[in-house]
Amino acid sequence: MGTLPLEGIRVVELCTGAAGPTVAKALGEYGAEVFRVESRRHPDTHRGGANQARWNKSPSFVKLHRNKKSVTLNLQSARGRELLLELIAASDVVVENFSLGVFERWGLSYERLREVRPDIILISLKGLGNTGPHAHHVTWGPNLLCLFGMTYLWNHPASGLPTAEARTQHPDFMSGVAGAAAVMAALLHRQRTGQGQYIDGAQIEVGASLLGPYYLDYIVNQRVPQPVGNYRPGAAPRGAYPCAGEDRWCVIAVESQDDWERFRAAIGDPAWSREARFATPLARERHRAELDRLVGEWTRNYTGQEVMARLQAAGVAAAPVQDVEDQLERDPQYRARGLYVQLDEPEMGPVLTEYPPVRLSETPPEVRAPAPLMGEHTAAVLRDVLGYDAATIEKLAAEGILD
Amino acid sequence: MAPPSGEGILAGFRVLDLADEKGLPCTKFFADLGADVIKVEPPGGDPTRARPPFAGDVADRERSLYFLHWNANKRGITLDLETPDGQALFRQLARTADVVVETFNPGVMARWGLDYAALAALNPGLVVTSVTVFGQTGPYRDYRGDELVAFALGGLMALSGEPGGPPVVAPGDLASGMASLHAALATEVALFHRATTGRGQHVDASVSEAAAHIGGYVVPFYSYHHQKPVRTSHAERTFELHDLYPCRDGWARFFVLPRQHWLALLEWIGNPPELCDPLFEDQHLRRENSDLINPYVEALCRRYAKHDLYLEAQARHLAVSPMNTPADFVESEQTRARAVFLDAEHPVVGPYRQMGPLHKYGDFPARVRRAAPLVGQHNAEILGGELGLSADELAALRANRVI
Repeated sequence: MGTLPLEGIRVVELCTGAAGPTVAKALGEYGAEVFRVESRRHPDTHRGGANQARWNKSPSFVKLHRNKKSVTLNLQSARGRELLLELIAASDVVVENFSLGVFERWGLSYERLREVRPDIILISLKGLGNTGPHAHHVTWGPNLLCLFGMTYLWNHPASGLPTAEARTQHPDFMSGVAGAAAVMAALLHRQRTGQGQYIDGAQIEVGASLLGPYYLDYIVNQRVPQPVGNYRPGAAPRGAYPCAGEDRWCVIAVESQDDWERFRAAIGDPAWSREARFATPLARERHRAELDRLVGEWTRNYTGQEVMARLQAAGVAAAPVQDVEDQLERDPQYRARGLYVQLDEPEMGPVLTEYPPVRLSETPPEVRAPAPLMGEHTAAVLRDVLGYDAATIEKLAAEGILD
Repeated sequence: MAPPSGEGILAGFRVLDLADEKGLPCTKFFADLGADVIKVEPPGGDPTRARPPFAGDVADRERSLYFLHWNANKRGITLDLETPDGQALFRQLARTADVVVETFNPGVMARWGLDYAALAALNPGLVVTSVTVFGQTGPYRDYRGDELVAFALGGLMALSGEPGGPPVVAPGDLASGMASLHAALATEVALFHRATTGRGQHVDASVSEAAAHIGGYVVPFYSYHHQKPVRTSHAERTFELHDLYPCRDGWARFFVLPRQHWLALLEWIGNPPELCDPLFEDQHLRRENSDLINPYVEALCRRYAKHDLYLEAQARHLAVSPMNTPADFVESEQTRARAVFLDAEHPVVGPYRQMGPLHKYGDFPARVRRAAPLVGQHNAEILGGELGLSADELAALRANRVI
């Protein structure tokens, strides 16, 4: 393994859930040393929750915390908080996503952090941000999806059901990556000026940023935007089509007239495809329902992989709607690029998680270590980073400071 | 490179923007943080100017609200990269730039003599960031695709829609957004690394891989437990974490996970004896007995409008959220208090409000420095003023339709 760009950068993670941990995880993949500060007294859901038998055996924990070091500190104790400040003084970045006010209640404001580390970069990442009348609201990713209009828009047109949304934790992961990009902007700024930074992050605002054109439709045109499903103006056929097998699907995206001609040829030039009602993009859009039915009659004879191979060979955009088994066992592209990385977890055995969706020619991200056991690195970090001797560490542990 | 001047935390970096849908969230990230982002469009304007919605519903290249959202804070020039003169001018610009972001199919930039190797020979510190559907390598690299194709491969689409019915792509080009933010992070990391080595690198981001990153914990869960998630209907409620309940004027989501939230809900519905069994404190048992719980929650929701239900639930520290329309989000008191939408003015659209940076940085107040550029708005300023072309040379380029 080579030298990674963020080697020497230390990140203190004071987080539960997924968004904050994803900030630190993304920095860790470029070489930052991440100290996940957690506590046996208040274990995170992803660690396994209150049931200690579940600790170190959580698949979601592996995804969120690979490459990190686990340092257990009892932050309800003054001595625990002192140790945390010592760790922050030796670090470059702090990521926190506690409920609003908790960080401050522990005496850990940005101003306090600057006293121990003048060029510290602090990102406080909250569901709805750190200011405003609703900042204290309790939200998980799915609540945010509802609040910013994504659940409403993720639907077929006029479907009769409130949504067609997949059950997902989005925008947790996206706001985590965005948070890491915000921290990197601050690190670039520090590299040029020596100055630290306070960053106020709202997961909802990161998720909402992708819907900007919908909000503008309301702001400029005074219209409430409606769901469009798989539809895109000027493109037909476009959408999901049934395949061989039970509840299996593929997607096809015909954008231009050239695409249409190639598509027709690739499916064997059936007579219906030469009819006038399908001859132009406008005509195909007008007869979309009938076109979709006819395309579906062709696709349902093949697997999604077969549809993809046949249409892509003709230069038409198509793909199977993959489930996790397809992704891990059948997708040659994911396999060739090494999207899935196996980690040997001490108490779980092999677990697969995703490599970042990006490669760098000189310094590609690295997944170097499995997720840490609870408190695995506490003694080593106190010794190597904070300079405590074995006797003191033992004494702190006996006093419950390292719970 | 000039030090930051108060224009934003990334002021002083120059980015050449050749991005379409796949990379726009990446270049917007840089533009909103003060980098000098130059949008390079073909003569006549970028194809993304044809994307709806349009201001006043007039389909005009200067009225696309899609284009307005993604290209604020950038300058714009036109350049025909198919011509030797256009390529030569791009090479001159690349000597002055820190970053090039492009989203062409692999091989297109090389055909123009503008691939990473060619540009790095002119400017060794340059970072070239490519965002494509499949990535620069692998058996699918030359396949056709777009957001729909990438999202279908990524696994989450298979979990959208009703069982037995067509899956639905997420709104807002979600996979492209995820790929773009990973690309922005990687680009910043490459710039950070360049400060010590003097050398840039090539960043290769894949939208179809990014799509696989939105799917939560499906991959580690499947690899460990060998269980696949199944699509479930939004027409039924099982007191699952993502369920939607009908209110007087819409829908609301109840995300009841921790024990204290369940107890708060019990209190709200009057502690019905049949639900006060401690067994219900387990989320799995609640789901299995949802037929006992749902009538109470449904009766509760029928009494409220969605926004009133939201505020009452949050006052009780319950993670309940209304299913907002995009308009509800724009108008929400939280959105207003945090100034998520900033004042802007566009020469054709007029004064309006649009989203700024993804985060709030303590030392850099957010603002829209300029609205999206008109087609070729900065040709004279950049090609004349900065590259030093004479008025005659510019006229000749215009006559030959290079700009």
